[in-house]
Amino acid sequence: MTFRAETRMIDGGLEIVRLISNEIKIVIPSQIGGVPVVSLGAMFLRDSHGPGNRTLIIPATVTSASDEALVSTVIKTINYLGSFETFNSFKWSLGNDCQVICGDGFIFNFLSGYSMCFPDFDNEILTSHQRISEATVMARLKDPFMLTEENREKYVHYMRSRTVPMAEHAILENDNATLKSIIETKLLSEDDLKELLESSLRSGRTSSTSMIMSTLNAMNSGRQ
Amino acid sequence: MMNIQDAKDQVKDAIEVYLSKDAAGNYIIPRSRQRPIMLLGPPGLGKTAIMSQIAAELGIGYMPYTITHHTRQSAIGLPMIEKVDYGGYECTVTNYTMSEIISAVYDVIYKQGKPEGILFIDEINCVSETLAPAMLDLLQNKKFGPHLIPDGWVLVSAGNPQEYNDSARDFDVATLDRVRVIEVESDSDVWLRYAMSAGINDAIIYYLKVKPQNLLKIERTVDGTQFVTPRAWEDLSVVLNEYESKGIWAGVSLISQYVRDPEIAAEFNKYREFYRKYSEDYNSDSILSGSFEITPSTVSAEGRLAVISILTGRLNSEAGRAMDIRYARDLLLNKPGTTQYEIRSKLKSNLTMEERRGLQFTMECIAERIPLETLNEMLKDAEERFEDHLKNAVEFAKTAFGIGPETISLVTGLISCYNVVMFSRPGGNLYRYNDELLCAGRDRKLQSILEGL
Repeated sequence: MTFRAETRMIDGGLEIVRLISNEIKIVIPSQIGGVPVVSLGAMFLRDSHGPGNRTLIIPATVTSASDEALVSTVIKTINYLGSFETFNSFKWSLGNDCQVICGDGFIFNFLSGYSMCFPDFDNEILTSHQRISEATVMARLKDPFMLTEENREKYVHYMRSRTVPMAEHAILENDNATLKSIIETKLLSEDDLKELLESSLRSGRTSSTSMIMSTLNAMNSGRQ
Repeated sequence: MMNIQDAKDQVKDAIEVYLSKDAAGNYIIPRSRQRPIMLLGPPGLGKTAIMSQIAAELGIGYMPYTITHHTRQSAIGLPMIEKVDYGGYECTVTNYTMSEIISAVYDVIYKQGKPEGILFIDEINCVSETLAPAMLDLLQNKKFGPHLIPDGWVLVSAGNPQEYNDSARDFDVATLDRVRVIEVESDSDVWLRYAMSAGINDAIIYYLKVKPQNLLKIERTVDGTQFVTPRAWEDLSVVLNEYESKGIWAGVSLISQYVRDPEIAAEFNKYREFYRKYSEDYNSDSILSGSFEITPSTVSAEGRLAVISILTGRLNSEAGRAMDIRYARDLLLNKPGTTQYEIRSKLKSNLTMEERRGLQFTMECIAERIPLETLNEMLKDAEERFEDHLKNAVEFAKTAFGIGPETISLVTGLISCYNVVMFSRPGGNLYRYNDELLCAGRDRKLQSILEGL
C-alpha cells in the first residue's frame, strides 16, 4: 500500500498539496506532525490511481479545498466529517456518481458530470436534457439545502404525477423506507394519503397503514 | 410462489398496465403482447374471489366462466355451413356461431356499458380432451373458435396443480411461454386479515389464529381425501353466523359437512367452546361500555388471544354497520330520490363488499322511509359510540394485560380492519393509539413482526 502526502504551511495549518495513495479507503489525517490539516490543494489526488470504488474520508479540520482537488480521480464515496455547508463551498465535481455523507447527517448521491454543490447541481440538472431519477428529486425535496424556490417548483412539478404511483408501488412491495421518503417530500396531499390508506388496507399492509395514519393524524393536528 | 393478496396486487397491476392508453386512446401494450394471466394454486384459496374484487375496485366489467361446465359447442360455438365464392369457384365452408362466452362479454359491454373488463376462465387446465385444443387456442390467440375476445378485455385464467386435482393437465412450453403464470399458495396471515374485513365468524378467526396450519389441508388417506380449504371456512362462517343469530348452537356434525377432516372439525368444535366460555367470562359488552371490573389476570395465553379476538371482532362489526349508515346517508344526500329499483339494478353489477353492503342497507332505509335527518343522527350516535368503545377496549387491554403483545396486537388488529380504519377519523382514538402504541418511540420493525397478529 502507498500513502504519501506532500504538504505546505498555510494560514491555520497544513494544506495537502498532493497525495499519492492506491488504497481503497483513503483516510486524510486530521493532523500531520501535530499540525492540523485544513486544506486540500489543486493537485490533491492528481495521478493517484487506485481501485474504482474508492472511499475518501476527510476530517472536519479541512475547511477549504481547491475546486480542482478531485480532477481526474474516481471516488465512489466521500465521507466528510464536517458540515455539508462547508463541503458545499469546495465546489467539487467528479466524472462518476458519488455518494457524499457529511458529519451533520446530510447524505446525497451526486451524479456523474454535475457539480457537487448547491444550487449549481440543481441548476445544471434541471436545464439538462437528461432524465432525472425520482430518488434524486425526492432527496432534494426531503433535505432542501440551498434549494431555490424556482428549482423547488420545478422538482415539485416533475414529481407531482409520480408520487402517488410510486407510493402505491412502495406499499405493494412492503417497502416502508421508500414510502417514508415519499411522505417526507410533503408532496402527497391529504386526498392522496387517504387514497393510499385505502390501497394499503386493501393490500393488508399494516405497517404502511400505520405510517399513513400517523401522517394524516399529524396533518390534522397541524390544522388544529 | 406468492400469497393470494400479493397475487391480487400483481393481477391488478397487470390489468391497469394492459388497459393504459396513449394520448390517441390506443392501448399502449398491443393486444398481441398482452399475455393472459394464469393463476395456479390449491382449490378454495380465493383465486376466483379476488378476480371479482379486482374488477370492482377498478370499476371495469367482469365475466367469470368455469370452463369445465362447458361443452366444446358452447365454448367455441356451433358449426354452420356457408357458401363462399372464390372467384367463380363456389364451395361450402364451415363457420361457427359466436361462442356463448364471447357473446356474454358483449352483453356486459353493451348492457352494462363496460367497454373494458376481465374475462375469467376458471379450471382452465381441467377441461376434457375435446376442449383442450380450444383452451390452447384461447391462451395463445385470445379467441374462442374464430371469435376474438373484444379489445379492452383482459383474459385471466385459473387452475389447480395436478397434486390437488386428478383431472388437471400440464400445458406445453409453447403455451406457457405465452402466458404469465402466477403460482399462489395459502397464507394464513393474509386470509385472517381478509377474514376480519369480511365478517368471518369470530370463533373461526380465533381458531385459525391459534392453528393457522389448518386453514388449508388436503390429505389423501386410506379413508379417502380429507380436506379443508379457505372456501370451506368462509362457507361455514356464513352458516354459523346465521345459526348464532337464531340462537342455535351448531355441533360438530354440521361443521363436518364443511370441514372434511374429522380431526380438524372436532378440534374446531372444542375451540368454539373455549371461545364461548371466554366470551362469557370476559363480557365484551361491559368491556366496550367501560364497566368491566378488571381482576388480576390469570388467564392463559390462548384466553388472552380469545379476548383480543372478541374485542377486535366486535369493533370491526360495529364499524361495518356504521359504515353502512354513512354510505346510505351519503348516497341519499348526494342523490335524493334514489329508488329501490335503481339500487336493485346497481346490485346486479360487480361491486366491492363494502359497496354491496352499503347499497343493501340503503335499500332497507328507503323501504322503511327513514329520513335523512334520522340517518344523520344514527351516524352521529354510531361515531360517538364507536370512539367510546374503541377507547374502552384499548384501555381495558392496557390495564388487564399491560402495554405488551396483547395490547399491541389489539391495535395492530384494529388497523388491519378495513371498516375500523375507514370509519375512524384523524384525531380520533384509533389514530391516537396508532401514534402512541405503534409509532412513537417504537421501531417500525416491531410492526413488521406484528403484521398478521
